[in-house]
Amino acid sequence: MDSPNVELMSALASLFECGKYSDLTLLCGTKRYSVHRALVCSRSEFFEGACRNPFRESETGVIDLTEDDPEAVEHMVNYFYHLDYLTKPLSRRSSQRSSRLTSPLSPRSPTRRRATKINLALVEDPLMAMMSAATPSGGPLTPPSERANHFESLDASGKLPDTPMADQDTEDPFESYQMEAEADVEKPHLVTHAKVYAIAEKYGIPGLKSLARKKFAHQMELHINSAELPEACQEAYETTVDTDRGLRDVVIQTFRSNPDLTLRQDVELAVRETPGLAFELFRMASGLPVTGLRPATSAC
Amino acid sequence: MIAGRGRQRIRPPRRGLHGDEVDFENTWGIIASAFREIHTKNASRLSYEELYRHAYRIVLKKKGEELYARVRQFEHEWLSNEVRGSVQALFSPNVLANTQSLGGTTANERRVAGEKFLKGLKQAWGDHQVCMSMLADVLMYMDRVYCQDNRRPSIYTAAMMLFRDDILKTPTSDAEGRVVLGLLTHVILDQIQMERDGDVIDKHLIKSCVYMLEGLHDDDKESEELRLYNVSFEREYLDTSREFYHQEAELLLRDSDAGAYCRHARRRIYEEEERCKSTLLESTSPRIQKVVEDELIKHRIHELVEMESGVRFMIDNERLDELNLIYDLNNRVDGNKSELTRAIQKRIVDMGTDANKAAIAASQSTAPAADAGGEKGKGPAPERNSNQQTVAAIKWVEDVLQLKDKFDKVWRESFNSDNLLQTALTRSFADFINSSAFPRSSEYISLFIDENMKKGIKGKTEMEIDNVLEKAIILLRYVQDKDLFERYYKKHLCRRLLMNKSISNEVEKQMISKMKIELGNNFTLKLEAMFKDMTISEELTSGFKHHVEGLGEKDPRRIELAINVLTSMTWPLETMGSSDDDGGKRPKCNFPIAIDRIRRGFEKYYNQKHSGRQLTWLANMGSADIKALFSKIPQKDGTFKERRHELNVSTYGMIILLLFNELPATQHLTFEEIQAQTNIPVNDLIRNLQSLAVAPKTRILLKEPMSKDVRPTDRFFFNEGFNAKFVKIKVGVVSSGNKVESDRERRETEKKNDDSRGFCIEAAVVRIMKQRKELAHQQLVMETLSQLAGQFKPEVNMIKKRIESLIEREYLERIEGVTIDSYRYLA
Repeated sequence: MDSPNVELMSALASLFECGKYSDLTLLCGTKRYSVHRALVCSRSEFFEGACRNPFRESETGVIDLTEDDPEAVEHMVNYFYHLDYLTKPLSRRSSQRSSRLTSPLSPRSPTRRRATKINLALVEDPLMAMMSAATPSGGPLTPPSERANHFESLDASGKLPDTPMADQDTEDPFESYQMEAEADVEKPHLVTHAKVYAIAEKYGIPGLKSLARKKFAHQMELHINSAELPEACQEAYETTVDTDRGLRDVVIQTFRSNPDLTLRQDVELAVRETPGLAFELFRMASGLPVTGLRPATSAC
Repeated sequence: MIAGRGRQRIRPPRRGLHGDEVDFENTWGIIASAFREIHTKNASRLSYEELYRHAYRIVLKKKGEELYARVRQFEHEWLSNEVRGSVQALFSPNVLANTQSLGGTTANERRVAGEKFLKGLKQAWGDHQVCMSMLADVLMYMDRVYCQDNRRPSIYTAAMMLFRDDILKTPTSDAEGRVVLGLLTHVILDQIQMERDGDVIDKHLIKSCVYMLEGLHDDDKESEELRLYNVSFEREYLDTSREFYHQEAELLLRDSDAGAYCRHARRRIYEEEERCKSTLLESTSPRIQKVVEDELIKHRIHELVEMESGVRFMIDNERLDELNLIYDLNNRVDGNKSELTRAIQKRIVDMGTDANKAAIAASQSTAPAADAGGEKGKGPAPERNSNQQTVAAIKWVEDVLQLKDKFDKVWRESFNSDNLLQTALTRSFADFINSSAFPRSSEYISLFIDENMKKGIKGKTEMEIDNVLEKAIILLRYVQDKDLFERYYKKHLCRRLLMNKSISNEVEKQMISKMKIELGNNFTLKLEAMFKDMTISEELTSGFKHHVEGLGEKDPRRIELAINVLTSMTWPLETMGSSDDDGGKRPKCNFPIAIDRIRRGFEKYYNQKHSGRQLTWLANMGSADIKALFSKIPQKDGTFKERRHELNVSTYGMIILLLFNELPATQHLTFEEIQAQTNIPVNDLIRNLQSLAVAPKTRILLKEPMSKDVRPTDRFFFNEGFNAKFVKIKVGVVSSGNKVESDRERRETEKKNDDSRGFCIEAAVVRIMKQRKELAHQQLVMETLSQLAGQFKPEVNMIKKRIESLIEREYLERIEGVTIDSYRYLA
């Protein structure tokens, strides 16, 4: 807990919670986020552009993002301060806490502003996980068994993206136990991740982009049968330009490993509605390189 | 969970946001009007987020290319319609005038007009940059996605190129059809020229225009060499500067002196450097430096050095600062500083040659003058002559040392102790010191030391003495023929030691050890042996005295003997007298009986100590103290008084005087009688008789007839009436000091030197051949030269002769049937 990294992360989290020293406000619908130019502008070229040029935003100190998806905006802001969003709480947390932890997902959580400590904990989890990935002896607060489990699944997504293992994972008794305990967390959030990916692309935040992609790919494996899947695929193909392969590759890979998907009715509907996806699936089925027709991509 | 499900339901509105076709024209209309606002500086009314979103959506809907083209078109039109006009408005007649002729407008008018033009252009450029960076931020997504994927220049870069094409490359209205860019270059050059002429200009203003030229490129690839600055400005800047400095150099060389020229050139170099920093770009610095250096220095350095007020003048007038300037300038364009080196070397050789000539002139021209002044007797004339020569020698040494000091100072203070120049100085000194027109340097240096050993160092502190010795060593370093110097030094040292002329034995030894350091052990070996002989002789003298005392009763009439036993090979005895007259056979004079007894006594004593050694007595080199009693004769004051004198005479003089001891007062001896009785060599006898009977102050004998010369028929009497003020009288013998050699003597010395060089060469050749067995002629000569370099520089001819001689004597043989002359060593 006294690691310098933790210290910095806690400091950032508390800055966000209190809104101390805030010099920029983000609006999204009825929500207001008090943020810091130093932190936001240095991460996103959009925000930098807004603040360094003499447009209205730099004079008023308010950037209105109402046109964007409010959920995606919230996740983005979260990422700026916590380096993560939609964090999956671990089972060791008390149910009382976990209910609060999910609060960022619900648009109007009254407890959010006050729950400094709890949010701190929220930050710590992925970080602790990362630290224990590097060093076998983790922090004392994290039970080893759970930590190991958490990473197994992450690793599996990285190394074995399309093996049946993924399906087994969902039926893992341990996982299902978790699902019962933290039902909300186990929602796939596929559409959310796609939206976050899109907003990261729009505002030029590479770190958030890759984080969203990783989460998207992970959830895709875990929730291959999710009802969200068709919409997520559509989202992936419509919110970014064709040359952006990030989510597209994940989607195509999923279809490749799960040919049965096309048999689902809702999937079929989505494919019909999304020409980009349809075209690429066609090329895949014909044994052609999926991106062959776009010379620009091959040039990059 | 419920919320999640809910989101799935709200699909239609989302589709509306993303799926529908964006109305491009409408959106572009919004963006274009916003851009217009930005260009008219009303951006604060605009929402960045909104503009960004519009551009983002257009790109997302694959209309990036269209957007890009529209923005370019928009900027093109804006620049052409709005900006170009305001720039054109800046072309006042005064700005345009300077491109054609300088007449009609004053510099000040042009300066003001030029500044106005530059200001306007700078303003337009600055505005364009600011607006474009705002536009580029709005179009960030297009840059990131469309431009990168399609490898188009970013919209900012594209807009900068538009500025180049739509503003800078459009023609001005003047008759020449000049483009704005050309005008800009001319205005800047004009301003710089004004500054060179002493005006004050707005450097910051020019610098910002220069930055513009630096930021723009002539092509669309942004290559370094094609920056507008380099392509359009710098080239012309260098050309006009070259022309300017070419003319300036011409003018300056004509109108001012070398020192002023140097100062000016240095200032110009500094100015140009500063200009690059403050007004232009640093990258131009080396290039303009080269132009200035070429025009002001490189192409002019020869003229500069040769100017009436050039290097020679500076040296003669000790203009150390100016010499330093010349050095610095020359060093900039030529690491070897060849022009300066050449001038310096010439000056050294000239001045050195002057010193040489002065020395020769002094040694020759004073001879008749001395003759005219010294009619009193024959003796003093040649003596004074050679004295004069000695003075000339010492003056020469001092002149050379002064020269050396002078140039050392110049070297230290003006040439930053430059190594190359030091080498050049050394070479030049060696050149004139070893000049074939001046063969006396070795002798002169040795004489200089001799003079100091005998007189010069009297009353000086150790430091000062050391200084004098060091000076001698400095000169010695330049001397090529060290063997010749050794010969002279030995001769002079020999006289100093035997005649006890040295002031301090300590200093002599100090000198030897200095030479040892400078020239090596070999060089001083024989000199040290001479000192050793002296020490042993002292021991012998006291040992013999002790031995005689032990023989019996002290005899009041006993003659004391002080003796120097000299190893024959070590001492240059042949130079000590006139032995060369006798064809190598050493003369044996007849000693008086009393003396002869002592001689035999010592020989016996010596043989006891060192059996088998032969002692040869060199009477010509000794001296004797005699107590003489002159009978009562009337004095000037009328008293009668016996007079006792202690006479210090040469050994020969003593022998002659003792003859008169036996003789009644009125009797006389003829020259021939004296010669027959003493067997003293004729030359020595004449000189001794001259000093005893002719020299006015020591006329112990009387000669008949009285004349300067001594003839065989002359008769000699004892001078009863001899009168002198002092009790102790030293009877000098003509030509006993170390003097400059006469030409005959010099030839003699050189001949001897050449002979001994012959041996050295032969020895070296044999050494080399013994080791190599077979060797080509050329190589043998080279190796011989390098072996002997430390002693002297033999002539190649001499080496050839020696080799022939060795072949004759069958040490070597020619190898038959080879293309290159080669020799083989015969064991």
